[in-house]
Amino acid sequence: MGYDHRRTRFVPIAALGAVTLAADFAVAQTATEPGQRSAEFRAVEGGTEMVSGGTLLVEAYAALWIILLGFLLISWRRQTRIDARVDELEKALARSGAK
Amino acid sequence: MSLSRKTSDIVFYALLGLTLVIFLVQINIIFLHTPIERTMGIVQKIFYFHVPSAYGMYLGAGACFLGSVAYFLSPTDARDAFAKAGAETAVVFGFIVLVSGPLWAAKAWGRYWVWDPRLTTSMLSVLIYVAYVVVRSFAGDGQAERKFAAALGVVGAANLPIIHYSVQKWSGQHPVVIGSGGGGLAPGMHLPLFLGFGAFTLLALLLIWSRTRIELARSRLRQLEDEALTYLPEGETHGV
Repeated sequence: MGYDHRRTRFVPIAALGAVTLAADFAVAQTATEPGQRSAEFRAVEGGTEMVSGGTLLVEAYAALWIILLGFLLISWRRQTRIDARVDELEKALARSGAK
Repeated sequence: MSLSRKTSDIVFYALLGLTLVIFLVQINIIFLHTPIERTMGIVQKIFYFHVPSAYGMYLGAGACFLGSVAYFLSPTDARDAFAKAGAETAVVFGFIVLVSGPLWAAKAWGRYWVWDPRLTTSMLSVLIYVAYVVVRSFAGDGQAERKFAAALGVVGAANLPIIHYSVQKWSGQHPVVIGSGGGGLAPGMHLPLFLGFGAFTLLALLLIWSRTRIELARSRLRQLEDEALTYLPEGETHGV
């Protein structure tokens, strides 16, 4: 009768499964009972916090860079219009010079 | 390209690089090394670019004032371009102030806006420079429009000291931390504010400089177009 490698491989898998089950059982014992779960949300007594300060900070920084990039975009568009006018002028001068 | 233009380009790019480096260092210090304020929490970190933005607005408005006064004394394209660039810069930084301030106030005061003297006078100043930019954009570019805008640039500057002294002369909710009457900053809060002033000063100067150059280029182009119209034959002026 030969040595059964499949049975040997099964041993660590079974051990791992047993440890996992035991851990799950331990966690289940310490978890909140169904009746103790929060069933409603209440505001902090006397609290005025409506929004996270971190969120407002990120929004302010985003606004800063959006405004600056918007200004950059406007400047770029003006420069593009100037370039287009220079091109038109060059073409007109070239047409008159060719004649 | 002339040597002076090449030199000015090098200086411009060098200042731009320096501004970016200062911004990166400032952001790093603000978020990784600066202590969180005890009462307001992390939202107080808006302070490090809200106040320098207001300073940038003053710089833009100051440039508009100087350009406008100089234009009245002797009208030139360069002076007009400088005044216009200053007004646009004041609008950009004014918008940053008017957006970042209410976001901070939402946490600190529980509402985005109150009709506090400093807030109200700041908004009034931004509206004045918005009016300047709108006039220059839609009312043409003749001598009369330029003079009207220059008058607005001079009169509009009168509101700047009112913004500054409003917190001292009238009661309000706006904090007074730095300057006379202020309680000062914690030791770790000075450096990011100082860097913010440096970065926004450079940024304001770069914006004024670049916008002035674009406006001057536009003025020169218009003169060339007018000259071309006088000697180009009929039928060749299409598009000019």
